[in-house]
Amino acid sequence: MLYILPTTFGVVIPSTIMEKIAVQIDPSPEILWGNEATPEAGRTAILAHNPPYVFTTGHGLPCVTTVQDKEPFISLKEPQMSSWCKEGRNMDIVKGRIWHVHSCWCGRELALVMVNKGARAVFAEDNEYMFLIPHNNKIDIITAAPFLAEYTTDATMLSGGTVREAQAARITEYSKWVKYFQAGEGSKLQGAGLAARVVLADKMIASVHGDTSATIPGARGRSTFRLNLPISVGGSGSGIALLGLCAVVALAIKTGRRRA
Amino acid sequence: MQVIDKVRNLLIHGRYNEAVGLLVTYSPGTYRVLVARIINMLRTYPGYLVSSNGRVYTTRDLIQMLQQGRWNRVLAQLLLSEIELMRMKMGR
Repeated sequence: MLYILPTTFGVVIPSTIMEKIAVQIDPSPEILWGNEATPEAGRTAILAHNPPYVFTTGHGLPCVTTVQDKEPFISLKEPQMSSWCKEGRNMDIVKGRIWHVHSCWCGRELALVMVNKGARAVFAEDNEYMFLIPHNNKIDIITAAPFLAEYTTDATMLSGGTVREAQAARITEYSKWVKYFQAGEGSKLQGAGLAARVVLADKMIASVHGDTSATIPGARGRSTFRLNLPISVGGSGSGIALLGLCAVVALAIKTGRRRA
Repeated sequence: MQVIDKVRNLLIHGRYNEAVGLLVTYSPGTYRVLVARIINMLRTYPGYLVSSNGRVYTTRDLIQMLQQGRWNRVLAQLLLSEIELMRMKMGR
C-alpha cells in the first residue's frame, strides 16, 4: 500500500509515527517520505502501482488535502474557498481505492466528492485535527496518543477488516485513550487533562464515507503494532537514534478475521 | 441543559461564534466555568498545540485569547471536548 508522508509545517510528527507503524502492519509498504511526498510523486506511484489502499497526511481544508510544503495533492476547484483550491487536482486517480485522508476538514466535502468519483471509501476528519508538540522534539505518549487511535484504522484495514470494523476500532481506541488520560495510568502525566480533551476532540471529528463493507483485496497485514516511546521526530532515514526509557505501547486489535 | 445541547450542536457543525454567543447570552455562569476549566487545562501543558494550515499556538497564546474573549477553531474544539466530558459525567 502507499503512504504519502510529508514532513514540513509540523506534519513530520504524524508522518514519523505512521512511518514506524506502516512497516509493522504492511508486508510491503511503499513510503514517500519528506521531499518525495509531492503531488507529482504521489500521482506517479498510484498510476504505476495501483495500490488498493492509500494513506496520505498533510494540512487540509474542505476542498483539499495537501502534502509536502502544503502543495495540493487532491483538490476541488473552489478558488473562493482558498488559493489551495484554484484548480481541481488528481480526482481521476481516486477511483477503486480505499483512502485514509488524514487532513483537517476533508470529511466535510473532499471525501464525499472522492466517493462520488469512485473511491470505495474514505476515512477523513471533519474539523481541525489537533495534537500536542513537546519542547524537546521527542514524541511521547501525550503527543502520540491521537495518532495511535487514528492509525488503528489502517491496522484494521491492512489485516483484512472491513471499513465498518476499522471505523469502530478507531473510535474505540480514541475512547480508550480518553479514559487513559482521564482516569487511567496516564492521568498522572503532566498535561494529562489537556491530552484527554485533545484526543476527545479528534475522536469527535473522525468520519468515514463510502462503502462500509469494503475490504482491501488480499490484505495480509498485521493488526497490531508497537511503538517504543519516546521516539525522536524524523524518519528512519534521518539518522536519529531511539533514546531514553522506552514505554512499549502494544495495541491488539481483535478483528476476528484470519489473515489471508 | 437545553442551551448546552444547542451549543454542542453548533460546535459540532463548526458554528463556533454562534455557539459562544449563545452560551454567553443564555448561560453566562456555565460559560465562565467552562472557560476557567479550559484555561486550567492549558496551564497543565507548557508546550504547543498544532492546528491545521500550519498554525501553531502556544498554550500561553490560547490562554490569553480566552481571557480576552477571543475564540478560534482550536479553542472551539476544546470547548466541545469540555462540554462532552461534562455530558459524559452526567451520563448523557
